[in-house]
Amino acid sequence: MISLDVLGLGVVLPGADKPADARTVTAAPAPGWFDVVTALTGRGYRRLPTACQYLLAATRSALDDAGDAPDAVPAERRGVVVGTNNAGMALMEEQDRSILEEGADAITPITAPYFAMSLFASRLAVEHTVHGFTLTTNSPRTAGFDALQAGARALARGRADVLVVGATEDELPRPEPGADGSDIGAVALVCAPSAEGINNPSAYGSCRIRNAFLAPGAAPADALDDAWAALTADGPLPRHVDAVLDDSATGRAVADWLAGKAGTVSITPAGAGCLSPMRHLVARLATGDDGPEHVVVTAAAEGNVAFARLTTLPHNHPQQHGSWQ
Amino acid sequence: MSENTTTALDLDELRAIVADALELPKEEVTDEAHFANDLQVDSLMALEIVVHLEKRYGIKVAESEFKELSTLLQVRGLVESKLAGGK
Amino acid sequence: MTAGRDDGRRVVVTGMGSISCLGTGVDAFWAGLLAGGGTPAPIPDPDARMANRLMYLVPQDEVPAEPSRLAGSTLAAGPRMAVAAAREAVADAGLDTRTRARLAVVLGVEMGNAGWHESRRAGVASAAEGATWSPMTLTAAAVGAALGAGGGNVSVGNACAASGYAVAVAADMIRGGEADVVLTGGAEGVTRVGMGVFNRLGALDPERCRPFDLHRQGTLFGDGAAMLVLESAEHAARRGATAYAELAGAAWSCDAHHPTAPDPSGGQALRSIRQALDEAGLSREDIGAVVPHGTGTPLNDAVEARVLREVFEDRCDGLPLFSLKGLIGHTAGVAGAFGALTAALLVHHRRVPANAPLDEQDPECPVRLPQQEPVPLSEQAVLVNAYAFGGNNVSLVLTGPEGAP
Repeated sequence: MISLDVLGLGVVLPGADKPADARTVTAAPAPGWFDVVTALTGRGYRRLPTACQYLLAATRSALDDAGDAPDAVPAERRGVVVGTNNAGMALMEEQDRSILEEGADAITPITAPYFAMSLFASRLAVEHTVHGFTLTTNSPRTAGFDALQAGARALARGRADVLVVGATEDELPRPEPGADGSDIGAVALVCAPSAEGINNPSAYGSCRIRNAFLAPGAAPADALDDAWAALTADGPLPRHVDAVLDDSATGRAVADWLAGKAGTVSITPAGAGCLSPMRHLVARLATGDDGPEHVVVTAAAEGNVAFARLTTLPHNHPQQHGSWQ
Repeated sequence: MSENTTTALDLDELRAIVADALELPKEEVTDEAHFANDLQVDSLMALEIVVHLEKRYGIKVAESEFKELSTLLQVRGLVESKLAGGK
Repeated sequence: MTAGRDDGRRVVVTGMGSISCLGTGVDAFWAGLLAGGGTPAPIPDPDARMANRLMYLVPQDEVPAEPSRLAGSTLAAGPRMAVAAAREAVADAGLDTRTRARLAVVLGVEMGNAGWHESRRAGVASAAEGATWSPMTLTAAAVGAALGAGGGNVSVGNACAASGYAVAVAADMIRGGEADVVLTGGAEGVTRVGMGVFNRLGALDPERCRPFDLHRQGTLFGDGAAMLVLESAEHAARRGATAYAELAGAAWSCDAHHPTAPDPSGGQALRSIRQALDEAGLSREDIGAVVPHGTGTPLNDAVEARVLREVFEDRCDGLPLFSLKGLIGHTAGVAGAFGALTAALLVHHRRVPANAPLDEQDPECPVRLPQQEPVPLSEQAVLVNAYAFGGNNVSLVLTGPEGAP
């Protein structure tokens, strides 16, 4: 499994100011919890879809946190991978309403292209002059972990030398099923390839991803056992597993299968979106509490399952300010 | 479609509309600032200005018509001619 | 520089499946290309209030009705077509049950199950009382469930280049030893929102998709699904499978210039072409044809033509392009996979079908577009480009399978 070192973290979340608090959930975000004018100074942000604003702001924060290392990387060696499920759903609702009620001419031009959720990552690439590559991942609920995995693989294949990996979501619009408790906010991680046997002193730690597919209604079979075996093959068993699961058949099957796999397993209910498992991942990396070895696992009703193995290092010093420009 | 009882166009209001569409302070949208060269207006922002104008003045502007315009004064010319009855 | 096929793990295409305006199945697809391609028609959606409703449509009676559900979601046409094409590809590759159980799936998915959400908004469908979240991008999961594929299941976005990136990711997984066999590709249905936005942005042609034509005014979409089974050459050889082609090179780059317009300098597009050639261990003399991105939008075609000229120089005059979108429309997220599938067919048949006739080729696009009849493929290597909104570029190189062990 390919490993990523995490050099910087940034979050834009209702109810959490810093990565260490990213597991804290605010039942309903306080109105005005995010102010684009203070979070993103300058021109060209006010009209962006809000999930794009969250992503840009979280990335600025992560790059500041990562210090000088990313600055040195030429534009053609930078990459961006962003996971999302619902970033553009509210906009699409509005656009479709406009078409249904008045016709396509009523669509607002400046946000029009963002019906394609991949534009969110592309806007990030424009912001930080990323010429290496940009990729969006979008599997239900596992998209954030998939982004880390795709990023790690791309680095291993030599497609870039440093990455921003992000996950961003906006609340589902009211008429969508599952709107209640849907994810909102963004996290961003600055990542570089892990060097074999070397602990990077600037890193929060490292992460490795493994995924599997459990068709809805199927019994957890070899696929999950194989993934777990590969994940825990080298190194001590994790003391703790964070499971972010819904109460679908797949979610319950994974929860049952997890029993006894590690010291303790905590299960957090998952809402719509790919952000909540990423919040848990970021918080574990930022705090390193409960020991250095961790697993976060998540799954979707549709069958996607993903595991993140985290190895954290003590991370005591705030990094110096820096930027990618 | 708004009922227009006067054809005199308030340039300052027009300036405010364009500035708002471009997220710029009004002072930067001078009478002759060039949209593309001075104000970094791209094709999407140009469309955005058109939408704002159409809503405020109840006119219809074709994309091809707007493409010819580069300054606030030229925009005023187009809007005035539309209000005077040009389709 | 990416490690390429010389580092041991070569990737071949052992199965393919498709549904398009040319009908169901790869045989119908190839026959349809040779017969001159499809023609656009208005989409049947009565709620599509927009000036231009033209698309290159999969025939209505060929859109599969099943599978109709996944977990708590009703499946629209896009995911259903994905499953049908995936089944064809896996059967074509002759994968046994054990291999199928370990099969990984990486698809390019942008609009996914948007068709159901649009039906809900139009009042044609409704969510059941207390219904749970129905993710839009569930297409890859639908395919995984239908095939019983237990390996990793991932969908990637990247708009009009989505499945081009998926093909590259699948190849990377095999080269890196993560998997021996990966199903890749994409599928998209008709989308009212996508059509509406392109109407709004003035990006559609009033008549047909005519890339590189002087009178082109934009693109026109097409729906459908294209799937490929990628396999390590070694694994294919061990089970006696034959391959259509080798996926010899794949490269990415990013303009990072503007949300919708390509970088007029084409610098990054150029870089990904050169890198894909390098990874394949080939030079410009070795390419026999190009399947361009060529959408019919004025800017894209001019930039791409200029970039191809820069890469191929004096060879450009004689190098045939097969402008696929002129025959099946712009299949958005599926375009990359349709490009790769077509390139595999060009290599397999050693022939390049005729292009849809142009009224008048744009002199700003000095590329070769044979229109009278098919031409032989002079070199067994085809370059495929896919470019997306936001400047995401992917270039693929497919070659004949003979070189692979």
